[in-house]
Amino acid sequence: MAIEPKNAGTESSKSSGFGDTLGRNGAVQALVEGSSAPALAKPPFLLTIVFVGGMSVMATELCASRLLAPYFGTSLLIWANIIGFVIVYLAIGYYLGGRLADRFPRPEVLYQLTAFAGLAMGLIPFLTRPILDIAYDAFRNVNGGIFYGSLVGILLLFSAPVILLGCVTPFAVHLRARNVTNTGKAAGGISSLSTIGSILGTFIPALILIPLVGTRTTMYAFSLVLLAFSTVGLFLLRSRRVPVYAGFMAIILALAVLTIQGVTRPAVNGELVFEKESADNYIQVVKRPVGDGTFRFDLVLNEGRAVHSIYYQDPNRILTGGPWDYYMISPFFNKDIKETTIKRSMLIGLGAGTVSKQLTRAYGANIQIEGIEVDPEIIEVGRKYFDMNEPNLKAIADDGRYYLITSKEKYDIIGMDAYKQPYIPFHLTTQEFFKQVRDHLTPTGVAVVNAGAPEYAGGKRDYRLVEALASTMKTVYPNVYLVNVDGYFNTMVIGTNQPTSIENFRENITKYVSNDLIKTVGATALEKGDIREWTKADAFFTDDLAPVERVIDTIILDYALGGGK
Amino acid sequence: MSAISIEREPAKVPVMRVPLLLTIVFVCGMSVMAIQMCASRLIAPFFGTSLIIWANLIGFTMIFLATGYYLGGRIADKYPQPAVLYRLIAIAAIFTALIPALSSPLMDLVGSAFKSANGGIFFGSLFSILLLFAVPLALLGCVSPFAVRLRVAQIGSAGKTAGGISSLNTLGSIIGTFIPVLLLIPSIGTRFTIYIFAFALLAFSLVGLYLAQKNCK
Repeated sequence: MAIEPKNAGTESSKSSGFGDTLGRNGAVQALVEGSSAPALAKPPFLLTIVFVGGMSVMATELCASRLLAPYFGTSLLIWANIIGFVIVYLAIGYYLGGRLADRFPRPEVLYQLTAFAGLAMGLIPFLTRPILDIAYDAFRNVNGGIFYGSLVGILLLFSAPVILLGCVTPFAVHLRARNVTNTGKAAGGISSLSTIGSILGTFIPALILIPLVGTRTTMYAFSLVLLAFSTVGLFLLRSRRVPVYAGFMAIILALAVLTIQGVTRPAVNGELVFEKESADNYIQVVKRPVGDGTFRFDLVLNEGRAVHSIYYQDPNRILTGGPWDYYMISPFFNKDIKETTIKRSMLIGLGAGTVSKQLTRAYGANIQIEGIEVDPEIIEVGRKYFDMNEPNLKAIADDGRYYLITSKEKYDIIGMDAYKQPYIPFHLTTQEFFKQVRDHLTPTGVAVVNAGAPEYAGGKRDYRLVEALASTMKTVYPNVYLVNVDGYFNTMVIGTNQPTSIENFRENITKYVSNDLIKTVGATALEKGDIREWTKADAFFTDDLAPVERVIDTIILDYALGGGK
Repeated sequence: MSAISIEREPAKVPVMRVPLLLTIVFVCGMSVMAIQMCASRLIAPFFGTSLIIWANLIGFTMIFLATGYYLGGRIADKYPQPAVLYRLIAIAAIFTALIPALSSPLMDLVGSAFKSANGGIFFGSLFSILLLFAVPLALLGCVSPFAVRLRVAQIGSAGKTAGGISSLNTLGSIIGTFIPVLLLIPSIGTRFTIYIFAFALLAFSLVGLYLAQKNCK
């Protein structure tokens, strides 16, 4: 490959004023089509605005997802919508930006574009409010069309800032590229700078600002930063319009001060006790009446379709009637097992500690519980509002599977309830995972998974997720059982480390168990749980191929189309 | 000087197949996102899917790409020939194809090395991402500025070229996000998905190299 002979000359012309002038003339001839105003020799501040622009794009995208999360959740569908819309906007912006730069190759135009992007960004938290209120009503009245419509409406609002920000990179390349032979360097350098900006725009909001000050304030902050840099750029160019853009900043600042107060989303069917945006979730604690004059506290995450933990104000009330109750009865498929045998448990998906409280009551303070919860804020909420303060509970903020494989202990009950609604993280559903779970079970140990099985109109239940999990577990455990949770659309899938039987369970619950809680739940399971053994073994989910999101999406879709309850 | 170089430039650059170049920009944009989506599936069994993992993955993908953009632009200015670009993509394809076979033993090793350390998840995932994805992603990052450089020689407008190429690359990224996540990973698995994209990269780069050679003769 031959080295371009002109290259050396161009490289040196970059820094010297003389070469620069020549280069500029060449560039103007080649690059500027029908423009009367040639660009300044060295646009001041250009690289800075590229960096800030790259940062703002990602910050906007992240804030969009967090703005939607309390209403629409964080399912793949929502993410796909956000990413899809943002990328289309960027593509439009790149295209327009390139054309604009050819037409008006002046840095002043670029800074005006970014200033308007900043303004548009700052107006979003304010403009989305009424649309989100519509979404909230549509959600309560189960109106799917309006619900999805409001999602699209919000995403359309994001078109203005993102398209404008998309213009920045090609515009800057045009301003920087003095001639053909260094276009590669200009394009590479600008893209790379914009990308480094994007990294900060991802991490600063996700890890620092949103958990600290919330999504709306974060958006105002990034809007103001973008406006400030644009205004400074214009000021350096001695633009006459500087006061206009300084005025934009004043508008956004005023909006921020006026609207920063108030709750993110009201509670559904109850009183909002606490709300918080963590790095991972939008968290609510909702106080709801039980009926006997006392209250219960519910942990509600994101769009609030499910209750993740329950805590009763009445200290004597421990059982919920829900899937939480069933972890305590799962060891009794073993023969000759006693309550005192159960000494250690791991809960993957601790939430605010409903199950750990129940296990402590059922087995006494001697049971050592390790509760793994990926979101540290949820642990905090549990300690504060759900009295998750049992001395025998070790609450750990970590990924469940990572904690499991690094643990050297053996457990009597390993419980899985790690929903990120509506999904289960795929790596907690696979054959390889269930093998790792089995490696950590005592001889009489059990693995228990809570899985959703919605009911269609007409009473038909959809067991596809349950059966996929059970089939996968059956490739690892000698016996796998299904227990329906009475009154809920959940089914517990239980795998045992040694051969066991339903007969053992019946005998243990009716004859040998002494604890009232275990007896009560066991009796409900025997009476109404339709306890059955699952015998089909099929590694439906593996680390390589685990279509758990697809299974759940299909269930949701069929449920929506089939008129689910 | 530069003015002269512009006049001469088109004669120096070998005849280039424009549709092929633009297709390759698109395929590379697609592959970058596909590799990132597959990466999260490969890492999850060892280190999970918590925010730290996503932050590491997105952050480092961007750093690798930024490095690629920077280097790609420099290389393109030095060797503004399509054949060089296609060679870079072919090497990226080979490194991509190595990922499925290397990932499990490598993360097993890295995972056990950091097992007892504080922040094991952070450093474990970081080193795994670095070892598995730095080379292919940085090489794919070279493509966009390289293509801008090759195209601008033909049409002479930096703004329009950079805009058009970025926009094409970005459209590739959308498809590269959705096809693996919604279609390929749930149907044929993570490893096979990576092989498909590695194969596509290799196929296009070889066609490009073949045509570039033919033009030289």
